[in-house]
Amino acid sequence: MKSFEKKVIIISNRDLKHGRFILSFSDKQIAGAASPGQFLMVKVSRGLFPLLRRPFSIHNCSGKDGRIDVLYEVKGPGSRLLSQYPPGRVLEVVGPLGNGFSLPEKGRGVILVAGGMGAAPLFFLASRLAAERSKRRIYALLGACGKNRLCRPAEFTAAGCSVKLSTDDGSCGSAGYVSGLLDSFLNSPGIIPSAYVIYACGPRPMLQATAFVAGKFGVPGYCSLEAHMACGIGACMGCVIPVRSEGGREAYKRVCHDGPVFSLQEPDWGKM
Amino acid sequence: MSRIRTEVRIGRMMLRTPVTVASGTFGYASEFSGFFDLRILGAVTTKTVTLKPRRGNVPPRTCETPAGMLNSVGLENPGIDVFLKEKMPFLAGYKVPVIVSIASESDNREFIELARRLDHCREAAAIELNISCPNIRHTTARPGTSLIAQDAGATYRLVKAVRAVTKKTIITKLSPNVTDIVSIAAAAEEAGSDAVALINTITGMSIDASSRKSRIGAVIGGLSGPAIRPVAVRMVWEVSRRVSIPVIGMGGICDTDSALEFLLAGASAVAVGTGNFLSPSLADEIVKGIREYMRENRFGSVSMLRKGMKYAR
Repeated sequence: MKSFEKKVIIISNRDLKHGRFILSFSDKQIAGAASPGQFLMVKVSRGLFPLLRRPFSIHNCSGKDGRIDVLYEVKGPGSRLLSQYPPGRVLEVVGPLGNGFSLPEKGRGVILVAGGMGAAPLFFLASRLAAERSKRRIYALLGACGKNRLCRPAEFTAAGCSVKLSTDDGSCGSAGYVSGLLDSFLNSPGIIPSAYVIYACGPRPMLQATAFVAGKFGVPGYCSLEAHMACGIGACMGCVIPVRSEGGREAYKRVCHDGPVFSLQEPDWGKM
Repeated sequence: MSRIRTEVRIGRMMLRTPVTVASGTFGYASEFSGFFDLRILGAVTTKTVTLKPRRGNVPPRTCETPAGMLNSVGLENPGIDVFLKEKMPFLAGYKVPVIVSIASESDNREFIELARRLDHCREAAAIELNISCPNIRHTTARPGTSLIAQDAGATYRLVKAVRAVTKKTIITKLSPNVTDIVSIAAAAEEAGSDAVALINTITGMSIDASSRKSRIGAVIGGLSGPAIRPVAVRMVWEVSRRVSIPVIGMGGICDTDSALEFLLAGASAVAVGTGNFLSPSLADEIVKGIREYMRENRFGSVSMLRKGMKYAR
């Protein structure tokens, strides 16, 4: 696994409305090494505030020129600064970092489960799987608190996914959490849960609920976690989560270096 | 101009360049080996290791603060056995001196045992006594203090005891959380420490007004980054004038100029800490930058640079 520290030039930094942006740049080395689920550490300031780089998952990699898309939401001063950067500006990035998703075995159906912005890394996975040109079934279960917060359903459809939506307020798709949507999907006639694998990303309570549903149906799966990070490369031990290790012993793992992708059953959700 | 000599001697250890890294900010070096050639460093300082594995503190362990960050990692490490078996072999392949940082949370015996073990380890060039980590509590310090490095007597006794069991270069890492750091440095020197390293983090806190909770799990943490640099430079300047052993200066170095501040204040070498998180190849940039500065300003050696500060306006 090779990572690079590069200065890249912003190609575009498009406002998708509702506080979301999609930033693009080209780097053949980073794109060539990147796999779905990995992330980048991006320097968002020129000076000392904010001091630390910000981790962003890779939303997509495409084309011969190594184009990389980063989908992000303005949440604080770091992402706000990033959203103001025009095309042509130099951006310092380190990546790709972390362990990506283990790709599904041949023929196994895929269920992507996204809570809000959790769709960001799952889209890269969807487009990689679409490039296989196999007959694999790929479902994308996208959830959000309301209609405006649903993340890129049209793009998932265009990437060959069967898209199902849920919103907490019922403004679009089925009403309720996306974990509930997953539950009813796995219960629906003709679906054999053991023939699928789940890839999930979103807020921690949503992932915990997804892990519970996956466990209930005996479906294997993975989740990609988000964390505040200082270094992003496994050195500072700052971004740890509690995990259930063999023998029930409590242990910590680094989201940046041991993750950000974990088996759904590995995090000790009750202690997070 | 004749050749620029960037070598520095610290105890029995020869550093090719006056730049190392701060323990706990560089992992076990393998994390950084893909970003630059580690051999450019004067030495690698490894994450503090203890006798037994330590799980570390409850997350969240870091938070960003103005021009700095707080951490309450709590010395998570796999213990000396795993360190020697799994981490040291990688470092041995690099032909760069390795400073092994050690700590104990109980008493001096653990430090002594660790030093004994490392005394037999050919790959360890020096031992850093981390007596200043604010995230663990010591039982040997006198009441009212929690760190050995907050007590000149405790510092003297520990360094003396470790000195008795090893010929390796000993570097004592000092805390800024004291009234008079010079007296602690002097105690380390008197007890036989080959060098002092300063500063460790400054204790600090940050509270999130919306949740009304501390932003880090352990409530109190250690502040690092450019925010603490003026404090560190002042302490390095004071200590350098009062002790005769080399000083390794650190605290908020994030570019060549900030590294030069420490050398001009009297440090024999500098360590890049939180800066490693800002850019994984920062230490490489600083090594080259110092060399360039020495050439441009006609400093033939680091010892000349150390005496290069001007006072008259």
